Amino acid sequence: MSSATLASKTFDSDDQVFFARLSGDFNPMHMDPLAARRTQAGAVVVHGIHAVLWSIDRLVESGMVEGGISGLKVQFAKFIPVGETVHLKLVRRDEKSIRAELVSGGLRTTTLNLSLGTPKKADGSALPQDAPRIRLTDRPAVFVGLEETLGLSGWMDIAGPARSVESRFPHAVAAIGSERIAAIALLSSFVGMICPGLHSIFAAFEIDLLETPHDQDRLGFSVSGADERFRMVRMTVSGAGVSGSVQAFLRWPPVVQASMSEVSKRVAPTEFVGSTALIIGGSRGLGALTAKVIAAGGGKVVVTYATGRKEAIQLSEEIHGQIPRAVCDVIPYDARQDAAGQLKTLVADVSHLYYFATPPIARQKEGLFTSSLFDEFVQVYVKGFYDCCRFLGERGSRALTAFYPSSVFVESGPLAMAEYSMAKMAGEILCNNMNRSANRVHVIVGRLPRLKTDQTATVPPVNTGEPLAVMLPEIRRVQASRPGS
Amino acid sequence: MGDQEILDVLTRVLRDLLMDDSILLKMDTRREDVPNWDSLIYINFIVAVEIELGVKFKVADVESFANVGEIVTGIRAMLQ
Repeated sequence: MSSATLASKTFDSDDQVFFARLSGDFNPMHMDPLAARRTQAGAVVVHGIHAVLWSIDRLVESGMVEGGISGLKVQFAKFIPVGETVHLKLVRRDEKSIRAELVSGGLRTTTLNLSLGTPKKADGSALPQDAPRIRLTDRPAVFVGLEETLGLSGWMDIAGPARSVESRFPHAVAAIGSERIAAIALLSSFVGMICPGLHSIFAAFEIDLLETPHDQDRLGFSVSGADERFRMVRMTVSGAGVSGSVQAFLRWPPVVQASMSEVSKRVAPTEFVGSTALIIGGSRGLGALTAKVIAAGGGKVVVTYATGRKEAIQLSEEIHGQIPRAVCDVIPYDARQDAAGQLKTLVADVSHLYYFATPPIARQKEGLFTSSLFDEFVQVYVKGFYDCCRFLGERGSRALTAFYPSSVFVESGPLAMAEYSMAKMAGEILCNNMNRSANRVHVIVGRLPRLKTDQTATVPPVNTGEPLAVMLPEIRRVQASRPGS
Repeated sequence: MGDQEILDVLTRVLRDLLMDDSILLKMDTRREDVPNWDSLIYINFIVAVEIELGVKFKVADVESFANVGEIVTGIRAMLQ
């Protein structure tokens, strides 16, 4: 299907702030890089509704929307990372509708279908009469289970947003009015701040534009259904000249690994005494869990972080809170940079290396194989690992045992994760060669199943194993191996 | 309801979701054969099919369908 590019835009942090203020949607997924990296998006992403309103503005400006808009149907398929250029492409236009899509990095992120014509007659509000007024704060509502959202309803005043939309979306406002544009903007808040709120993913909406709005100055919502299997919630929306439905997912909250107190019950207090473990990528996930296990067993740990300094310090505090005498140091480390330069000031004489450095694993991509993604994985899983091992092996006074966390995907990886699986396999080959060569590093490879971490807490949900149950025997296997000691 | 009728419903639902009238599902069509039929759209598709045909899948079944034919077979079994 051929499609012409009508316009392009790179949303930046100023755009994020503008739209958050306009819509009231301050969900951290759109605003906070540290929080966003622990979501399915993996990075700060554009408000989908912002991209939609920009698209409508461009479509109207192009002169294609003569005769007005009577309805809008939108599907959000992929995230648009902030800083990446998005292209608006016209797919089809006939006398009844316009179909367009937003494409970023070669991927279709959003599909828009504009029904052309005059707004329909209003058939009355579909919202409960007693729905409460919602006054937004900058903190989104937190729901963990879908059952908590059932029966929710409310409404918001559109006056504020309506005053702000014209400067940014003048053509769209001229076509369908500032109230309706403001109402569409508020859909972002309904999903991102209210329901499902903090842990939401906006999936789709479909609205009719109404000729004589029932509730002209307000937009209301009411939860109309939820599907626990897929963590999906449906809402009806009505008011301010629009009426329709919204669909969103309740994604999993960031995964909390077993606490130090839970770990301590499973590990003997002197089990790992005498060892010093450097844990690359230890601020969260399996790295943080490994740090707790070794510290609980009396081993010293040095935890590295790439961006999550705050999380690494919290981990250290948790370990010290449980075991005041524990040694848990925290240092920055970027696996894509030279190991020697970053570890030369490391005081500890490392006996064990656990290498959990990873880029985001589940990635949006086009086609079967993306070489730049493969390169990114190889940089961390192969070059970064080798670089780190080589430096530690040459520097330390004792031989090093390294743990290389491979993946069952090496054997049976899904098609969508070819680059990840290939890079892990390359890492395994490297490990095998290192063990065959005469050096002071012995590598133990563990093909880990999918475990419950931020990286696997996705919508739709996937089956995952319990990290502590899987990692504890692996860690004991690694700790028991002390070549040359 | 025969397999072809079910297939027609699936095609119509997916066309509607992906807003692409060129889609034509066959029994051996896999998700990766249809551009943009990603995991979120797949869930929307399953839910829309359930509403249309009055059936309800188990999550394990939804995850295990290797191709459209297996979805058709699953639906046929529920409709019998």
